[in-house]
Amino acid sequence: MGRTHYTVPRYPHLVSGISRDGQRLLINGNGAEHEISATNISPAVLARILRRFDGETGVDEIIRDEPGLALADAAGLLQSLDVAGLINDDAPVASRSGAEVMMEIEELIEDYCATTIFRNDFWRTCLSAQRPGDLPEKLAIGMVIENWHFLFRESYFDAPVLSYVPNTAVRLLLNQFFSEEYGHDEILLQSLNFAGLDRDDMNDAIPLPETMGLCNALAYWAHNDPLFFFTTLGLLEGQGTEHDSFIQACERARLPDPLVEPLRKHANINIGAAHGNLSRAIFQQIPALDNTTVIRLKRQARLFVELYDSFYTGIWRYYMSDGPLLRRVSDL
Amino acid sequence: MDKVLAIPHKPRFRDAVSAVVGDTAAQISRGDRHCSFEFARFQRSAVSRLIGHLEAGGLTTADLAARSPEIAEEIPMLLVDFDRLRLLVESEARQTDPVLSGAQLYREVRRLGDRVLARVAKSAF
Repeated sequence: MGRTHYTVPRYPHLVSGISRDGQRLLINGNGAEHEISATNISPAVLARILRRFDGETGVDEIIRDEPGLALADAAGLLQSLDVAGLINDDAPVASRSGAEVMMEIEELIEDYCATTIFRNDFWRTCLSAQRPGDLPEKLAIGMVIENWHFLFRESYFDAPVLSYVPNTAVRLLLNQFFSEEYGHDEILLQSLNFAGLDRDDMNDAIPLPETMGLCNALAYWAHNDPLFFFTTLGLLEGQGTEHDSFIQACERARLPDPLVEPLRKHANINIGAAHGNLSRAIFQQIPALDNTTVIRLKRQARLFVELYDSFYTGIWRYYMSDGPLLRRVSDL
Repeated sequence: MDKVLAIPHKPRFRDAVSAVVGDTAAQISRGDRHCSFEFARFQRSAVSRLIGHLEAGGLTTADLAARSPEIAEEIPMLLVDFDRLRLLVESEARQTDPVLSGAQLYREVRRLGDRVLARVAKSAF
């Protein structure tokens, strides 16, 4: 480990008052009586300084008001008191509530989506589909295939946060969410059965790199930056929407009901369970976030939307091509 | 999961939200998204007042209801719907509970450790 650097308390606060016994300065704290003395500071100055360690006066002001006190001696005194467990730092820590931060990030995410995801070829096709033929069936099946790959791997990124220790309420929300979410790949498999694909076919299938990239990024964040991972859940689960735009496009394009009905069932479970509110619900349980954390969350929000945009663009690129419906391990 | 979230303490429309209040219906828009709701003609001025207050922000649900008594009963659910549609934000930063720095937390944990040691570490070894 490198050299340790002591940071003096900004608003030092003695754990108890000082008393005098003749010339001796005493503090009762941390289970013992301590005598305070300093070689370079006179007892009168020392007593005056200690009385100002009240948690309300800044250390800079205390030092400024004692022209005879060397900075190094002041730091040495504070460090000795700190080592003995006799001092606190009452400096306020700047923070914002999780709920407020999440609303801000949600707005950022929605703004990014408006200029990326909702303008990519896949979603433009879905949103403008009005009649049969406007949404190619292969593209729709491709969307279900890649969503199946995503849901089939949901434990990669949900499992790391099921044991989220820092906040019990958040941990319980995540456990409830996972129990409601588990097995949704099986619902999509019913749609794929319509397309002639069964479980063996899907076990033989290779996801698109964009799909796997999204899964891996989410797994990385869930493992290494769970707070950021929580901000992604709202968008992934359809925040602020009461309908699924893809299903509506399938309906307008009159795609076969055996393909669409399982998708409807899946979407209605998510909407009924208010999964789109999950990010908000989690952050409402987080009372405070420091500014460095907020900046980190915002930085990654852009990256996440770009990855999610690539997921849909990848579906468009592959399933609008002449390639086979499934990329099979058995064909390698 | 619970379907209803806690709405902002002092709700305000997001900057991108615009509202048009007609004689018996109001349309709220944010970008490409729109929602509308209907009301009786005699409630129009109260609805306009509520929309104005939400554009300005700074009032709690109870304040909003007190200022528009004609629609006071409808206001809580209306705000829940607005919030669900992501139309609202918090008007002003709220004071959070006292927060500890890592350094201060460590001071307290160290003292706790000292207390526990003093109580349980009785080994003659």
